[in-house]
Amino acid sequence: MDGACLILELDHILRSDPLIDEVGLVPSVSADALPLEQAPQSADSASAYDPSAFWVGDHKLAVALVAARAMYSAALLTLKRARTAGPTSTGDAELLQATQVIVIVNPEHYTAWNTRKRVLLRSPAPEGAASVELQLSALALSVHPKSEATWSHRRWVLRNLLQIAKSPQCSVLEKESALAQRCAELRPMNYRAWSHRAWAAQWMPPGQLRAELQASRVWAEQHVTDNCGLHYRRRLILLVLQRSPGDEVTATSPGLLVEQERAWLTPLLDYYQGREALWLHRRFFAQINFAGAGAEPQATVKQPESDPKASTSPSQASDTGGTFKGFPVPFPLWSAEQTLVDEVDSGSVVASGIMASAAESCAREEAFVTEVVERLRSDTNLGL
Amino acid sequence: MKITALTILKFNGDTADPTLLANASDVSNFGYFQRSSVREMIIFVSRTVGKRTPLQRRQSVEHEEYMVHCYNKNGLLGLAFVDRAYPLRGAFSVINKILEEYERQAVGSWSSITTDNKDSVPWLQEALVKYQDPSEADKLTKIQRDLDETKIILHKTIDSVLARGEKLDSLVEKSTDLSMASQVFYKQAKKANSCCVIL
Repeated sequence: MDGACLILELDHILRSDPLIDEVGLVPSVSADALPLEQAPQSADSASAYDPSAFWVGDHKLAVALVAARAMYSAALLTLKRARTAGPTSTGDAELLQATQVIVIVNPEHYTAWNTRKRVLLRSPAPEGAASVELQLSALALSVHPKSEATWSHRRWVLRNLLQIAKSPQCSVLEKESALAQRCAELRPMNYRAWSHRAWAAQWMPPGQLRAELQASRVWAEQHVTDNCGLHYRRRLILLVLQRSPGDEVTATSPGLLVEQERAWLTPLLDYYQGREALWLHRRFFAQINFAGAGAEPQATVKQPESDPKASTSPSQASDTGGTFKGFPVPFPLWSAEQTLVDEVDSGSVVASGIMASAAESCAREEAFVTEVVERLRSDTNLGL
Repeated sequence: MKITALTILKFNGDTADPTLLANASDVSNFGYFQRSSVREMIIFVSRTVGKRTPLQRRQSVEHEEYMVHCYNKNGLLGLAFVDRAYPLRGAFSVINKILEEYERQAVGSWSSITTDNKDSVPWLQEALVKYQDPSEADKLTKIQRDLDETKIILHKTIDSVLARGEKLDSLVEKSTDLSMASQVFYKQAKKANSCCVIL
């Protein structure tokens, strides 16, 4: 297979159907070897591409592995030639075609992405070029949903777009949320996707932020083990709290927001007692409360991760945590309570006026943990 | 938590393959080109595990990133493919629930069925959507404590379900549930030791 020809064909395919949203690298694209839901409707018979290398249908593109290999080698050679011979030796179009193949096959190729950035910067029509970049990076993510280089390239393009835009770009940001969610579904615990989404949330106007908050709640209820999703929710809430008090989103006071979060978590924790991601989430809000979420939450909130005591091993737990002697308490449960105790003992709880509410909050957390443990114990006695 | 698939099969003893009576699956979180392979693989794994679940037994098998829960209720096999976060009790209540529903609808006629039914079953598809939230299913368990009377056998790998001398790879090769394409996909995934994608 001739790599250089295939590169041109691929470019043609992507240009002729800008709605292609997924690429699959498959062992073979012949009709009987391609695993498809429905019988593949054969593409236009006079197709402009090699039917043994590509398959297009339903806005999805399959590339045979042999073809991908041939294209990748050819594209690497082109890029290398362009870099050794100087910037003007190779045309921009050719560079874009070559790097396009490279990033679909290997999205962690920083040089390819950066070459594309340079070309974009000297492009006469930056807006059109930017949308091409967004499509391409979405394609690369459909093959490799955790690729950091791709997410970062996407942010670079978006930042340029959003900075020149005069009004809030709700639809652009909505697409980012949808893409991040899709990637989080493709690969669980997809930290890259969630932090990209959190980055995009910064640009959102208040109304959209509120919708985002609601959506993340639904997602979190269905994915209680995915700490990345819950972490995203914490970042969203901090974002809401940071906005000025007169802001539409914070029409509900910060205290109420934290209270709502706690009320939402209680039944979840009750049902999924051993899920640490949920306990981390609850601990975070207990600590926000201690610090008095009013004035400057971001400055006073103590990150759960930074607390070395929170990582005490479970074996030590049974030695020192006298409360639950002889009973195998799930570790997350224990550590949630221990942190609370530490907070009060060490006096790290913010002093003076807030102290009363902190102690109150602490007592409430303790009561809750005791209640959960009690129920767990009675369930065990029943043999469940 | 996620239920990927629910299947109901007829147990034909531990020598013959079970007959597929109904199945529903949600493969939307897989790539477009993997979906049909995943569906085929679900049927294949259902038969493999179901065939090796004796009457009135419950067993759970860890397979890739899935838990396959199986219950043989008087020759009617119910299987649920769920992720690890899905509570065990919830999964078995879902199986109980769908088996009851199937019996209610089929009124005993299932025991004479001998051919596979690969059509989509609307009520099972609805159940798949409804029970994505395990607490929905667990409402039932509060009453059905009998669930834990029989012990659930846990298997760390699908190989430990297989009889001595049997290998999953050779079963894959022999299986009529898997198309050529899916077999190639299975081998590729295994070779790449991929963390995911294909059952």
